[in-house]
Amino acid sequence: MVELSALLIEIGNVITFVTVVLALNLMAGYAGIPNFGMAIFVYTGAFVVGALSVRFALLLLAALEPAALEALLGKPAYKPYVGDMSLVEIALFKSMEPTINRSLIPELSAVLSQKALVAVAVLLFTFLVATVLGVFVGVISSYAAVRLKEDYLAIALLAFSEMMVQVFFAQTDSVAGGRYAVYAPNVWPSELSSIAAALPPAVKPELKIGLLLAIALALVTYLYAERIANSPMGRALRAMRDDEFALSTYGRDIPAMRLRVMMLGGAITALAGVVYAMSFQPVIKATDYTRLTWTFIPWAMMIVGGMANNLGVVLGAVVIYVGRKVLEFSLPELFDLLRSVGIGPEGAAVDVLRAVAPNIFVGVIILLMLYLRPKGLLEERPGRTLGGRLRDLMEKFSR
Amino acid sequence: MGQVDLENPILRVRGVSKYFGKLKALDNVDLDVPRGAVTLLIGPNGSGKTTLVNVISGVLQPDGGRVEFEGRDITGLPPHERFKLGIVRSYQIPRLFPSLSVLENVLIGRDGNPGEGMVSGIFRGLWEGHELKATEDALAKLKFLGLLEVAEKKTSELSGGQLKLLEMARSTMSLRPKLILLDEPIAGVLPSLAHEILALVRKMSIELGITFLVVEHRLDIAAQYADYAYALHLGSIVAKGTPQEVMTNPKLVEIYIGD
Amino acid sequence: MVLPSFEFLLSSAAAGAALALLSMGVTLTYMTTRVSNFAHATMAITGAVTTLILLDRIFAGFRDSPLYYGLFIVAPIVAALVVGALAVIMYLVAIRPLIRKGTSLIGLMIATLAFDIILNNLLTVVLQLTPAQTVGRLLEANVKGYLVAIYVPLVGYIYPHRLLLPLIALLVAVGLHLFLTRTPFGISMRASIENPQLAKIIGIDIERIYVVSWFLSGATAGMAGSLLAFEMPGISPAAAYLYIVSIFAGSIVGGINSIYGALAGGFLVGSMEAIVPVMLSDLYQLLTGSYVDILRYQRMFSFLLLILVLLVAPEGLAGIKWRGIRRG
Repeated sequence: MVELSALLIEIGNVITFVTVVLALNLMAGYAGIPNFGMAIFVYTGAFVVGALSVRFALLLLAALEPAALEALLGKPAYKPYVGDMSLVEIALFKSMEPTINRSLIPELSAVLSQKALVAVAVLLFTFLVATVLGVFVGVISSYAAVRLKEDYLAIALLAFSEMMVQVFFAQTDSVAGGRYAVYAPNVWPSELSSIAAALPPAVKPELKIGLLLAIALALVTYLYAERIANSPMGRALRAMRDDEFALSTYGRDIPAMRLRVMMLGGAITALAGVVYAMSFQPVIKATDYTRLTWTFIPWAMMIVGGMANNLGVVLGAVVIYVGRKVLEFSLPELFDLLRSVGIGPEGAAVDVLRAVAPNIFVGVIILLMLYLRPKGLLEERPGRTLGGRLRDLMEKFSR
Repeated sequence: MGQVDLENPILRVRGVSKYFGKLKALDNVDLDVPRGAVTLLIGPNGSGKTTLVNVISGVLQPDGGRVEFEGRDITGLPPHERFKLGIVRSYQIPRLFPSLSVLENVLIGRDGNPGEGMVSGIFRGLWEGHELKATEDALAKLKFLGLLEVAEKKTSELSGGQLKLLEMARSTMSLRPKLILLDEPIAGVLPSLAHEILALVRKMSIELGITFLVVEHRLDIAAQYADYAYALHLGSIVAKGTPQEVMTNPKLVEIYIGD
Repeated sequence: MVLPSFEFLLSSAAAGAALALLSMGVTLTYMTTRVSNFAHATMAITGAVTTLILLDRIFAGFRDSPLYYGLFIVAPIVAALVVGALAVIMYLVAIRPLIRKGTSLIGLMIATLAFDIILNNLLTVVLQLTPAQTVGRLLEANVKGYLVAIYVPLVGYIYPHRLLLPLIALLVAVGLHLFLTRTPFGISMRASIENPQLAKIIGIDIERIYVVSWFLSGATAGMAGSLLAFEMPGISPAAAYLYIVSIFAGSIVGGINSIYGALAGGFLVGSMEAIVPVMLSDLYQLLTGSYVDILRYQRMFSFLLLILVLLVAPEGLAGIKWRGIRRG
């Protein structure tokens, strides 16, 4: 059962990457916005789960179920940390304190599973706020540079992401746990959990719900991206990527177009971050949302799969994720083999090499792909706005 | 050739100057483009013709002077807003979108597509009618210009002359164009086709009331299709009048012989 | 601390000087080859690691002899050569083939990011696998321990190595200026930056100029990183991820098409990052009586300055009038 859970979490991770890469592909592949700050968008979703949904749930309990809140936050063990604060103050300012957070979250999850109404409200809040914040971050991260050339845009987005991660990292207790983790609550009412529990496979019901959510989000994102790709918007986005200047002399407002793409891509990425933090990585730490994992690897997936090809980037996500995992797990055996002929690494080297090899692998793959197959595994295709009717029109005019 | 009304021009350029470092590309240029007519702007290479087109279309900001369109000062307006006012331009060196097909390139020239939104784009019903009409118009233009066979090819597969024609097709796709700036539309095009293109310009001008400013290197082929002409040399207007007047202007003869 | 001490100003100037060198390097390769090099901070860290290895392998043996101070001379030079060579390799192996294939700007940027990831992870291996993992500890125990403060009348104790960074930055700046304005090679370099087509026509070997610009960019990064090794609280490859923000901020604040602008912008950003948070912390303490560590947000100041410049004057300090290295 442990093995199966671990496997399902890996699958959940892959699906999260699929959604993130599809959003990145909209921004970078189609619209040509070099978003080197993807990490902050994923973290935005995780932040909503870890820092905002918990506070919202506690405040909702304060309004609807004061007794339940008293049981959660009124513990004598919390006294040294909270002093004379009221329960609402504790909920707002101390619920992310590592010691309190650690014991609070499992209990909050238990309460939520019994109060379906509150749980559903928290769920709605989480998705809604993540969407709004994703849009917001999309705007503020790119606003200063949407009028400028891609270089500036790339630098501004990268700088914004790196800076924000540092800011959240530095918030040691009051905002989101900082370098100490905060935990994601389970927000599923027991009715839903028991339905999920009855379904195969035999793993924790919340993992199954999370997987279903992740699949639904990835699917909707894919369908959306395909629709946009085959619409007049897709055509305008590709034109903007090719030559934003020429497009602006054809009446398109480039900064506005870029901002709209950033808003939408930001919202999708933040939602992916929500599902990921709720279901696959419930220990939320700002420093886990690194440029490597959530910016660079999605870029690698997109480049390998093929920019501006939605099916391609999904394929790229699977190839890169599985490739990294295979490398990580097969290295020890490879080292054993090398050692048996006397050239393998020993001791500390084994762990270090095992940690860095998948990253170096991704870097090398990117350089090789850019050189050998810059269009990726699946190439970009022209948009099909009219589908089969274009054929008819072409024939009509050929006569 | 019809009478031109220079009292009430659609476009008025006043005292426009533009420097590139120490180089003076445009020096205090005054230019009036009469409404509904075809105006030629001629001059040798490096005379500043394209720079002037860039200033009029908003691609470049002038260092001095102003540009008025229909009596409104548009000097500080970005290119996309000038397009919305009805100013469309083509590029001398065709500036096409390389990953789009020929047909898609032409379709970009059609503005106001309701499907160009991150939300509206997914609702086919909202934009299909517009798209169908635009595609029909685009194919008609491509057919006229002999590009129908390559409609679904990438622009990289086209010859230099075909690229010029494609640029022409794209710049005449706008729904409500008032002033179309054509930057050397017939350079590198076979003479027979060049006449056809200029005849089309003439026809669009008369039938649809569109104003054209056609930039050309030489005057000979284009003269018979134009109502008015300016000659630019080293960033200054050196002659203006009917094409015949300009053609016979002694200064111009000197410039071209000296060229 | 109401008035900043001389020592504090000196260390801020050192931080500014280091960033001036780094921003200048980023700008240089951007101007010649149009590549925004996201691996530049990791290159600086490579210089720092090179210095640590030198210290560990060679100079640790001279700890009690005056020869030890040779480290401050030898290390920056060796680091400059090592990292300069590395930058040339990066250009020849990863960047030039892509430029020749017509890779897009975005493609080139992601290539430098890929190179950054590879180099950064290799540095992790080097740092962790040096015998008994001494290097990591060397920094805290040895480097800091080795540094000797000298008493200067009227000023107080100062660390002489801190004079080195501003001094070397100044020397590099002056040297670069002379190189670009007085030597035939430097003059043709400027010509090819301003007009590559024309440069080719008049027979300038533009490829050689590109290679040299990458070498200079890497060499100055290595030198800055080597000297920063003595300033940093600890050296980890991960530090590069944040440092790159400051480097690009300096480059853009100065104007991304101007070498002198980058030197000025880098110095401004670097010294401001060191001074402003401390001043603000002190001010806060003065006003409220409680202490808050604003230094941990120091990169935020470079980011905010970057955003401000992008919004108000995207051409940076160098601006429109005084563009690039056209002067002279």
